[in-house]
Amino acid sequence: MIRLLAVWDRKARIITICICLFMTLLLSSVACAETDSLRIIVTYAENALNYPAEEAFFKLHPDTEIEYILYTEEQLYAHLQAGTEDADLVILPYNILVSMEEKGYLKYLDDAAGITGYPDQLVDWSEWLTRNDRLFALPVTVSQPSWFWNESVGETLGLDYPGTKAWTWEDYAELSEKFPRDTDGDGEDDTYLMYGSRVSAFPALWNANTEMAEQYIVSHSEFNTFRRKYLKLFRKIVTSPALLDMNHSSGSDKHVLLGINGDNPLIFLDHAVIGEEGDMLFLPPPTLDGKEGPYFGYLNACGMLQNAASRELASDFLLAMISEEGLNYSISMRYDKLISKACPQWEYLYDGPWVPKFVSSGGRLILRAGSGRNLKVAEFPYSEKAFSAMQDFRSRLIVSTVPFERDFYDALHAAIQEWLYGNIDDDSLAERMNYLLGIAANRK
Amino acid sequence: MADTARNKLIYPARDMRWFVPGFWGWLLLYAAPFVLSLVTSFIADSAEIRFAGLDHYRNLFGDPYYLMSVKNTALFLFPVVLAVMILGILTAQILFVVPRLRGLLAIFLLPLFLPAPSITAIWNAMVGSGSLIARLLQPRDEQWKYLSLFLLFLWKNTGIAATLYLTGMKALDNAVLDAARVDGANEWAIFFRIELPQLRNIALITLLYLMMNGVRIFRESYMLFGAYPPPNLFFVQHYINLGFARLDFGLLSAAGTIFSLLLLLVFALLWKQLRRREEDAA
Repeated sequence: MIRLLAVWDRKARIITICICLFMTLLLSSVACAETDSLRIIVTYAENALNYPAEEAFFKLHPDTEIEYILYTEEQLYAHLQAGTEDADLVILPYNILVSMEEKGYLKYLDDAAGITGYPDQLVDWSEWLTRNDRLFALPVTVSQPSWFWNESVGETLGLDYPGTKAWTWEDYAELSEKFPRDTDGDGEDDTYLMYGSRVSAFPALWNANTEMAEQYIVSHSEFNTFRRKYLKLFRKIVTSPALLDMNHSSGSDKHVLLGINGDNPLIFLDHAVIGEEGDMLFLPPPTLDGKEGPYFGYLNACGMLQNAASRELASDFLLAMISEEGLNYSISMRYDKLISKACPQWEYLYDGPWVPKFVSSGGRLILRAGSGRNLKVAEFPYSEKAFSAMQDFRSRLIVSTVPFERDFYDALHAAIQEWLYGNIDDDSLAERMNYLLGIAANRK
Repeated sequence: MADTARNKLIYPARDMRWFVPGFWGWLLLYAAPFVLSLVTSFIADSAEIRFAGLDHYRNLFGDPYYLMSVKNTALFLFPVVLAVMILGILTAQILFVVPRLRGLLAIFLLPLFLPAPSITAIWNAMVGSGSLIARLLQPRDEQWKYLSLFLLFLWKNTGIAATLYLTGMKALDNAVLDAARVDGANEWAIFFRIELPQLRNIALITLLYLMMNGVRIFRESYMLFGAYPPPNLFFVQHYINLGFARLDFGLLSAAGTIFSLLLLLVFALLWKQLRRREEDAA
C-alpha cells in the first residue's frame, strides 16, 4: 500500500483529496436540502393522493416538499427490521399499521401532534385507531364493498327494491330461489340473481357466491360456530343455480339483479336518496344476524414513526388532515378518501392516472408534491343526504388485523371448492378454515 | 531439504491468498447475517431493543404451527430426496449401459436451467387448480398439491442426480466390470455388487446436493401455492415468512436459527461420512 502511494504523484493526490471534499460537500448539501421535506412511506401508490391534506399543509409550509416513498410490504418490513426506515409518516393498510403499533414503531398522536382522543369531526372509526384511548393513526382511506340493486331488472321481474335496511343471508337464499328466470319466453334462462365469484382458478365457484363465509372469517378467529350454525345455509347458497357463471361477459344478453361494488356506494346512494333516474340502487351486503353491520372493509391510515426526523412537519400534516380546509375538500372519483362527518363543499379534480406515477430516484420509488400546483376545483357533486347515508354505512366498518391477502382467499376458495366437490366433509372444511385462520393470525 | 521446508511454509500461505476474497464474501453475506439473526433471536419483538432471553425459543416450541412446519418439512424432504436418489441412479445405470441414450441427459437437465417462475408457470398450467386435468379429476387438494410439488422436485433434480452418478460410473475401473461379465455376472448383478458399493462417495455428494435443493423447494411451493399452502405443505419457511409479515422478527430469527442448526448438523454428518470414506480409500 505504501509502495503504491509512493508511486502516485502529488497532483493525483491533490485531485483525489479535492474529489473527496467535493463529495462531502455535495452529500452534506443534499442532507441539508432533505431536512425541508416531509417523508411519507406508502405501500400502495393510491395512498400518495392526498390533495386536501397536502394543500392545507402547504399553506403552513409553502417551501416544504412532501416526498412519498413507495415500498413493497417486504421492503418496509426489512427497513423496520434493520431500523433504517428513513421517513416521518406512514400511510399503510390497517393490518400493517396495527402490527407496527403493537411493536412500538409508532408514536401516539397526543404526544406527537397534540391530538388528544379521536377527532369528533371524523366518522367514528375510533375502535380501530385507538389503543387504551390513545390515538395512533388517522384514517386516510376506507373502502367497503357494498351491493346494488338493478331497478330495471327488478321491475321486469316484479320485485320491489327492498331499501337500504339490513337483510340476512336467509333473505338472500330465499330471493335466490326465484332465479334463474326466462323473462323473454324463448325457453332459455336470461336473468340471474348475480354473477358468481370472480375466481378463475376455482371452476366450482364460477357460479357461486362465497361471500357469506368470507364475511364470517374476517370477524372471527375460528370456523366452528359457522360450521355449526350456518354451514347448511351456506351450502344452499353456494349450490344454488341462481348465479350467472363468471365467464359470461357483462355485454352478453344475460341480466343480473344484484351486483357488488368494491369501492364506494355514493353514486348508488344518491340515486336512492334523491330519486334521480338510475338503474343501480344501493343495498347493504346481507349479514348473518340481520343487524345493521358491521360491514367488512379496508382501512388505510396515517401514523407517525417513532424516529421521525421532521416531527414538526409530520405533526402539521396530521393536523392538516383533520383541519377544516382539509376536510372541506374531496378528490374527484376518490370517495373512499372521505373521512369527515360533514359533507365537503368542494372537490379537487384529479385527471392523472388512477394509480399515481412514482419515479425511481436513488434506488427508491418516489413521488414529490409541492405547493403552487394550480389544482382545479369544482363543487362537490353529491347531496348532503347521500353523503351522510354513505358515511352512516361506512361508520359500521369492521376491519381485520389479519393480512387477508390474495393467497389467503385462494386457499380459502380451494378449501370451499374441495368441499363442494365432496372431497372433504363439513368437519374437514372447518378444520381447514381453522388452520388458515391459525396461520394467518398465528393464534396459539 | 531446505526447499521442502520452505515450500511447506510458503505454499499454504500463498494458497490462502485465493481463499481470502471468498472468505470475506462468506463472512459478509452468510456469517454476518447469521450472527445478526442469532442476536435478533434474543431480542424482544419491539422497536426498542430489549433482551428477551430464550422467550422466542420457548414460544416457538409451544407453537403448534411451528412444530407442524418442522414435521412437514422433514416429511417432504426425506421421501423426495430418497426418490430422486433412486430414480437418478436407475437413470444413470440405463444411460451407462446404453450409451446411445446419453443425449437424453440434456433433456433431463433442462429444468435445472429454467428459472423458477417459468417452471411454476408451466406446472400451474399443467396441474394447477384451474387446469384441465384438475377439473376432470377433481382430486383432493392436499394430496394433489403434495404430489405435484413432489413430481416437480423429481422433474427438476433427477437429471443432475443422474449426471453425478453417471460421472461416477464412468470413473469405475472397466477391467473389474469386464472381469465380472466374463465370470457370467449380469448387468444388474454388476450394478448391485460392484458399481453401487463404489459409488458411495458420489451418492453422499448427491445426497448433500439434493438436501440443499430440497430445502429450497419452498421457492417453488410459494410460487405455486402462495403463503397459505395446504396444511401438509406448510414448511418452516412459510412459518418464517408469515412471522416477517407480522413483524415478529425475534421469533422468526429463532425459527431460522434452529432450522439452520438442524441443517448444519445434517450436512456435518454427511460431510464427516464423506471425509471418512475418502480417508479409508486413501
